[in-house]
Amino acid sequence: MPAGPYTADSAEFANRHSAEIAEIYSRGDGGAFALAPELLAAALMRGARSLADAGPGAVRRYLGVVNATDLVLACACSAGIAAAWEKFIAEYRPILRAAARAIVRDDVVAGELADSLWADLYGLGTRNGERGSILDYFHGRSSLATWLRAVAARRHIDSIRANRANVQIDTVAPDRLPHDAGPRDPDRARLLAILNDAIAAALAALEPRDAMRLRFHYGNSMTLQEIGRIFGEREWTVSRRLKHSRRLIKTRVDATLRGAGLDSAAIGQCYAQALEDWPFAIAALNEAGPDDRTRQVAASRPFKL
Amino acid sequence: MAEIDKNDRLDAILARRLSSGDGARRDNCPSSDVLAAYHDNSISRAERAQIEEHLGDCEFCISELAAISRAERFGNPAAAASRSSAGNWWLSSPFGMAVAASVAVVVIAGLGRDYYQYAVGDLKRQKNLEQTDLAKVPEPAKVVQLPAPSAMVPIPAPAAPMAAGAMLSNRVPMASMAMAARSMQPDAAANANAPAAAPDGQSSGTDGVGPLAPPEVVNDIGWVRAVVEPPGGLVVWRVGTGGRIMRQVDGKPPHLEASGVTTDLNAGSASSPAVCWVVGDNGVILRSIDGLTWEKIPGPTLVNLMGVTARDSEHATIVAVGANSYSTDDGGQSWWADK
Repeated sequence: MPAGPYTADSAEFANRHSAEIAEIYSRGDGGAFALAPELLAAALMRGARSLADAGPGAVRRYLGVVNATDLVLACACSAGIAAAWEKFIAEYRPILRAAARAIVRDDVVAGELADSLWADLYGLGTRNGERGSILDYFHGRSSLATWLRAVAARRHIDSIRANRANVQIDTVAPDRLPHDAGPRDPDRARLLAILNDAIAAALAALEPRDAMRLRFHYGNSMTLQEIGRIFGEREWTVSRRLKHSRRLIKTRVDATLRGAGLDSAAIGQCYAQALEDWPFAIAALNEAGPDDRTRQVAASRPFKL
Repeated sequence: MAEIDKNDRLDAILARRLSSGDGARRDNCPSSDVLAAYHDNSISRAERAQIEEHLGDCEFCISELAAISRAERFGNPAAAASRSSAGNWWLSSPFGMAVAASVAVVVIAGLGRDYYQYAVGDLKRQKNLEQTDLAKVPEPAKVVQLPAPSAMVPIPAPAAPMAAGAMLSNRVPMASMAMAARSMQPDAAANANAPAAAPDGQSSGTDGVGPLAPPEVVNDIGWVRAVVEPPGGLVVWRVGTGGRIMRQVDGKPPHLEASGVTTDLNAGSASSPAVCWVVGDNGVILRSIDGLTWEKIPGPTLVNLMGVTARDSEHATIVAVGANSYSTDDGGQSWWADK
């Protein structure tokens, strides 16, 4: 049972966990940067408050495994200590650049992403009217390198989603527009709706990890090796689980379609029609008036099956 | 065949659905700090389960996790190489080889016809190679000298037609599968766009026939999607986007090799320092039998291939998107879908 958010104030936190804080300060060599211990204590308290389960055990566990060196460095940078910045730049600039390149795969955009992150790391941006480095959001629960990659990934993905949401019909290439389906076939539309619901239900019924593997594999084109690394599994285990998940989905979807009166050949045809008619939002689009077209396209992109 | 089609269609539907974005909204997503901790496996089991409940249904976080993983991998090539070699443990350890050999013997013994096919096919191939009958066997890969990139790509001749009785019933001849639609003629555009050659196009002895990889390619490994090491570890191939293949021998300067394709390459498997199979998008399969030059192998599907395990130059199993796997025991002349 989660204990809820950690609510102790900074004095109480520092008092209650003074031994752990001192140990982390020592382990992270805070003295090398002349970092004020209170700053580290404040960072650790923020970390404790970010825990989903902030019972005494969870906080102690967090303090026990925190990445002391990285957290001390982040705190020292956030406090504007020059020596810390020198170290941070020397060690993490290449990592951030490589991460941006790997995530974006375009040198120019990757450069922009890395630069914008550097600005936030330096604390050039404002948050709630106050200037502050995003390093304050690093709590030492992972390595600093992984955290930087996570921040870069989130920023890139948020920007992609934001751009997609803003797509206007004028900017959509004609071949990307939903094609005219010709005379509407109510039966066909009904079957596609059934297929849509069946796939959604089959996906929702998967175990979380199976759903994750599918999303990694199909949605992010990750290799078996890459997926295996995340779960600590062999490639063939990933392959087997993917196969298992797909078989489950196929069985469930086929059963639903059979329940709707389709035989095996018709089910195959239904799959083919689903691909031909992609995206399914065409039906909604056709029902909308011309003035609604832009809004409908924007709303239906990315298209949902 | 209808079932294969249906599976491919389901794969395509899933791929579109799960990569579409779905107009999903961020809803109680964990912070970057927590996602990074999940990636580093430094959270409690209970919290992990809680996060996975969310991740199973959140495209944003899954995409972020995928990006973190990729960024970590490409930012740390040494770790990637060591992890990659771990994937083929059964090929690199004597015990694993023994187990694999035992399994092969059991399978062969259990499938008499398969064994017959294997043995006869092997003899035929040997005979064909001795007679160098180019009308029946793929042209062997050539060791091509430098420098012109467009002339460096060995393209196999059209695959040998399969004899009517030469295949088991569950095997699908290459010509009758989706691959039949794909042209096996030299792809001038692909050659023209082949990975950039070093300015001087120099070569150094037996380390490679391709140009030395320019520093910008060696240092920027953002293009690498897989690191392939044969048992022994003296040779390393890095394969990745744009059809790039970079080979490095014993820590010496790496060479770019002409793959002959520009599609992204996703995975590889090497059974020896000379024999390596590589797979990529759009069903691309490449094989090298000399470690230096690559030939395009006709494959059983046009969907993206995400994994491969090779036993030798003739035996390989590839894994397509959707985890369909196909195997060959004749160097890719015929494939069968694994059950």
